[in-house]
Amino acid sequence: MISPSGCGVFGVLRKPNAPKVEGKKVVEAIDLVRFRGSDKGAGFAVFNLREGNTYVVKVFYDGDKEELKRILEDNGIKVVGESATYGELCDCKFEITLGNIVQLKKLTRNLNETLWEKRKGRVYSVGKGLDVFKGVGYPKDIANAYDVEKYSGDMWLAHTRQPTNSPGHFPYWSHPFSTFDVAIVHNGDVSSFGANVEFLTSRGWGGFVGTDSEVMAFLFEELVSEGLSVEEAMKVMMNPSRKSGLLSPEEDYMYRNARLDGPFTAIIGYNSGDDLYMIGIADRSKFRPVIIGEDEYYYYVASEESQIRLLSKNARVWTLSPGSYFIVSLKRGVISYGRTVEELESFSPPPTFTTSDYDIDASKVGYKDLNKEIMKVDKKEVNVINVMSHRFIGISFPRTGKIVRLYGVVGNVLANLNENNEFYVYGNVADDCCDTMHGGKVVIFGDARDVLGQALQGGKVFVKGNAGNRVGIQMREYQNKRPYLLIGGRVDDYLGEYMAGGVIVVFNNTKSSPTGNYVGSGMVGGRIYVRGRLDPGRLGLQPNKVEVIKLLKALMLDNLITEKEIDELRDLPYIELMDRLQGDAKRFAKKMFEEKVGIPTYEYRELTEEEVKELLPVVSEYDRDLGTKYVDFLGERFTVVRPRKD
Amino acid sequence: MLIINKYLPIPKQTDSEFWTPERIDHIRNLALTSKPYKVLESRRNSLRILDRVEFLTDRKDVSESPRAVTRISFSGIDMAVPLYLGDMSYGALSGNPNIAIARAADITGTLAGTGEGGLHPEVAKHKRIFVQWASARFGVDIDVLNAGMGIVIKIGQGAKPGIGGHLPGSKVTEPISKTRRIPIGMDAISPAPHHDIYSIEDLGQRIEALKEATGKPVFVKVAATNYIPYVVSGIARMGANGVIIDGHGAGTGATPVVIRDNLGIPIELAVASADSVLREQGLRENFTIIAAGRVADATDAAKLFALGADVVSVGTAALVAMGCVMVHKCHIGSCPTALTNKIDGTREMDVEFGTKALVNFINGFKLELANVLDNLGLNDINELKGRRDLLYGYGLSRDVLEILGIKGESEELNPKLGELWNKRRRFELHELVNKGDPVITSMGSTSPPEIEKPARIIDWLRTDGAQVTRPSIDPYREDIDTSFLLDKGRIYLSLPVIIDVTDAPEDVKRAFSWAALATSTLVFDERAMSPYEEVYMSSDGKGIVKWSRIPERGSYYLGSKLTEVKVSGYILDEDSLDEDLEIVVSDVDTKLKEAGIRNQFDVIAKASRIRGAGDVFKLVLLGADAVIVPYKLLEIAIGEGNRGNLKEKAFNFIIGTRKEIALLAGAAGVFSVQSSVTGNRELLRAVNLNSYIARRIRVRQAGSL
Repeated sequence: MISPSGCGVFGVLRKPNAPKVEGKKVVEAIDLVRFRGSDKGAGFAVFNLREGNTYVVKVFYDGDKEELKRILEDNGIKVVGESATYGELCDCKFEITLGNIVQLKKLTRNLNETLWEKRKGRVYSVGKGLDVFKGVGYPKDIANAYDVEKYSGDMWLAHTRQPTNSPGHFPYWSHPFSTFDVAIVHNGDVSSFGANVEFLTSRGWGGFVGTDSEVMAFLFEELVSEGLSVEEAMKVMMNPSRKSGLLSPEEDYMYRNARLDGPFTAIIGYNSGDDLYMIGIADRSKFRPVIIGEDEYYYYVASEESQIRLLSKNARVWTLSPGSYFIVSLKRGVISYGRTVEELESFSPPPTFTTSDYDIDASKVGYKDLNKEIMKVDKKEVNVINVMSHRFIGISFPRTGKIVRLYGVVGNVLANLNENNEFYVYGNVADDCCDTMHGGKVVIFGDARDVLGQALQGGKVFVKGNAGNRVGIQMREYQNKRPYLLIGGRVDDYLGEYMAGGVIVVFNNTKSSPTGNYVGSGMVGGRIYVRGRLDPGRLGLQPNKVEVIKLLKALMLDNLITEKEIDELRDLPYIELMDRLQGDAKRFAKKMFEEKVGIPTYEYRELTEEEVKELLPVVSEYDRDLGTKYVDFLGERFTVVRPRKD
Repeated sequence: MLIINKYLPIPKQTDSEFWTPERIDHIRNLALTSKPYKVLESRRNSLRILDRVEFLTDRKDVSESPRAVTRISFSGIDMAVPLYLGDMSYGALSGNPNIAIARAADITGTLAGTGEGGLHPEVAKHKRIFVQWASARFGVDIDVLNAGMGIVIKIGQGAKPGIGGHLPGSKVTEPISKTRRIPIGMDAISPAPHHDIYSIEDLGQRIEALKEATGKPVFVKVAATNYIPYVVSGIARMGANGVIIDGHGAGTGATPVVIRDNLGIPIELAVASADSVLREQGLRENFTIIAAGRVADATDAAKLFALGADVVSVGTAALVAMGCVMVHKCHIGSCPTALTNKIDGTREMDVEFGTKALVNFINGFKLELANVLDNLGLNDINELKGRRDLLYGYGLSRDVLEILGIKGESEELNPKLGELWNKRRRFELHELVNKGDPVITSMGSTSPPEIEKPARIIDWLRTDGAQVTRPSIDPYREDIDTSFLLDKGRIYLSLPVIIDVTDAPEDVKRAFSWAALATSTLVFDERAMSPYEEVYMSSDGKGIVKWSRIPERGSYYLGSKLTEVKVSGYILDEDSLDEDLEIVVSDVDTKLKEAGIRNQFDVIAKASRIRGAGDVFKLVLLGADAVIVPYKLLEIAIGEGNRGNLKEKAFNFIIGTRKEIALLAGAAGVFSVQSSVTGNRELLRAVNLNSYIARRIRVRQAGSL
């Protein structure tokens, strides 16, 4: 039985100078995105760094508490406190004292293996100062059942679950998943699940409940108990591309099957005994959303920005770079931001939530009910305040010619299918904005997240700040319709993937690299203008250097190139290498490293007169809308990316 | 212009086919007469599971005026017969067939799915259509979404789960350009996943969004793959009105052979298992299951209804009714019947002919279905739904009977029933070495275990295609890493394939040595050839890696007995094993894991009975770190053909194989083939494989939970 799930996640860690986090806040923050989950599972983990030698073990058990107690005592564990509530299962809790931590670890594993074989029960929480509360229901149900709001902690994790499958009425599959002093909440479905189970089995683990999320918790514990530091363990689990060289070939080989693949966003909480760690991770394609936040007192990790804003209107927030991790500890502070410092600083300041002149206060409107409210306002221009993750705005009125001003944090799927409305957002916009938009305009004063402007085929999209992963993918033009997507800041990976038409401009008003990798991968039409020089290694899909060098050697043995040429070619960026190769040598290289649609072309140059003529009115409009003066940039040099046509 | 307005003769079929002349004749009979022909025929000799399932009745009566009612209704839509004409796009089909399908649906009170690629203006005039929201959004706007009775979110299709599409610019003609809203001559790429749907809750978001935009019922089309029961329950929980499950073997205008032959599971297992899970979770009511993939007649349909489907979808059968002669040429644009996209514009199917044939077929199908009901003593199609108790299985494994939830005579089949090579396989290998690209084919699958007789255990195994719970990954545009590190990380292979050139002629040896260097892999031989020592795995100690027949520290041991000696790894030689290679690979992998030392060694399968990338991928899934394949594959590929340019042919063989492995990995949602695929049996499912063998190699049956 496997159980992949989608979900909403939340994590918070206090800073040393801050008061503990109240359970009430955490419940509110996860309840805000309960629409990401279902009534099939929710849970919380609270961590408190504490002295002493008392551990808490919590077990779901299909039987009587006394039976379990006997098992513990028979194994030399001293039980000093106990309690139980009985529903469909016994929810048993034991406080124990411990001489030998290894002994308890071993016992927990064995107990789980034996219990699970007959589906008799599960140890679901074990640790010093770690308490997991989970069950079947929405977050509020679980919070009520366990009185979660009365607890406070140094660190919390929370989860609302959207299973693809569960037996429905048992809590085993709810998150957080916990193993010794570790708890994890996860959103995604890792394709390496079977491989990870094989790895753990070979290390003596058994009795899995059958979800990838539990396996992630075990994997983390396994690697850390092997002696890897938190950061080293993350590096292995994150599965960096071999081309990055982040793992040595020896490590890479030794930890095959121990790495995560496919989509995942997860938050791991870990009590190392003398410190508490909160870790947020995003897979290398950033398939799942994740937002990191920080204010004077707390660090946050969340699925949606609104969860952080609910607790802290003015926190600074940023997203994880694809394939990276955020690590922070109570005592050591931030160990890894998941971004370079320059990137971190490039994110937009907090949104504006209110204005005096408004028509709708969205704080009283359900997450998908804003369209109806907007249509009720019999005005061309509608102002909405306190937007918090509201979704689908505009999709039910693509052709009404409205001007809608949104204050706050806009949720997913803004202005999809839009034809002639204009949207102005005084804050940030979440994923999937402007999908299949045919006309009209969207102006964003903050940042846009992932998959902005997918299949955008008309109209204009202006972003003042950054945009995320997969921006402007599949953009296209037809007849007299040409879309324009202008970004003031920077973007992450896969800018203009599969692009077939239209124009993307990245002004990069930041101090960091204007784009991530794979720019224009699979591009067949359109143009991308990036201000400044873009490293050609960031274009399209790049081959592994090891393979390039071997191929050159083979070409030399076949007299297709000379030895001297190898020396000249071996360190060139792939695009430049291809420009130099001729005839059969080029043909072999192209066959080996490129697919039907080759790597795009690039030029670093000033804009032509014609290009300036085309862009000037659009950029002027951008400046008027956003109060910038980027027309000046049109005189600078741009990297121009276009499809290769040979 | 040649107008096609009658049936062409069916060419002689040289390889095994699902669409046999008998099945085609059956459809033609209905299409010509509009009358029922035959029902409840017994086909127990077939290896297809659905054929081995029969109704518990001896009656096979056929009446021209049967009594039972076939009408159903769901999501506010009434259907005269639960038949959906499935999702063939304008682009895949040539226009006139699209019109005929839409017309026939209106005339017969059934439904037609338009497929991706926008709405043909003539099709748009018809009411009984389902429009499609697919990954590329071609031709979609609010009017198109509102044009039909429902919307289909297309996640995947049975013929190519997890694979995107690429219509080359040469096929984007003026009319296609208009409906897709892209310039003439512009390549039309459909990404493998929807880039806004990477999970169940993302799918839920898109379902809500489309409902918010249109108020129409929303269906989700998925390919039947490993997680199908979970996928369907997720789709139901996310508020979709129904699911279209497309089983493997379904037709298509173009698909990589390696995908068609290795991915996906049969519709009968998928439907039975999805229906069971939905019932268990209380999600079955008001949710419609449309079953697709190799539905050839009303008897097939009736069995699927009894297993849990509400509606069946036919694509290929509808094309056959309109004249398809099953020559598998859609992808090269030379369909003799002008059904699929004909690029030279020299022939055209007559719309009247197509419409009439299709209407007759549907009416005949409806009458046959009513006859089945009559024979079963049922009055109404709704009485048949979920009646698994009316079915009985013959010659199916006990696992399969359990998944189907039916009684039957269980039988654990011998896994080796057929030949390794046939004409089709040789031709495809020939294509691979000539082009160095994954081989493309079209129309329904002829692959094992159902059609071609399985020759080995792996022929009963299917690999995973990511659908909804995680995205598939596009091998053409994303960073899928097929490379393997061996020998503690010392050796880098760009793919898990090593070529055995022992006994090869000198020119072949040289060709593979060069190609192995050019493509970063190795060759296997007794002695290393100069100047290619760096690509040799040889026993003379001169290559970069050494192998030996006795265990030696630091070299590879050609043997399957585990040794205390610190060897680099084990080479399991199929020709000298007592048991099947699959079993030994899996056993050695498992034993090393039990001993807690698996990651210190390589397990290399030296295969002699192997056909290509699909086999390699499956052996890796069973625990191999690399597969040594015989040079003879190149000889088979060349056949009687030209022996010139061996180096390039060898090069093409390796890179073509590598691209095919990347396709399989991407379809399963995997970036890192070595780390995520090696030993990952979760990505495999068995289809009616002998239950004992399945347990031994730790692979679960398709449709199991």
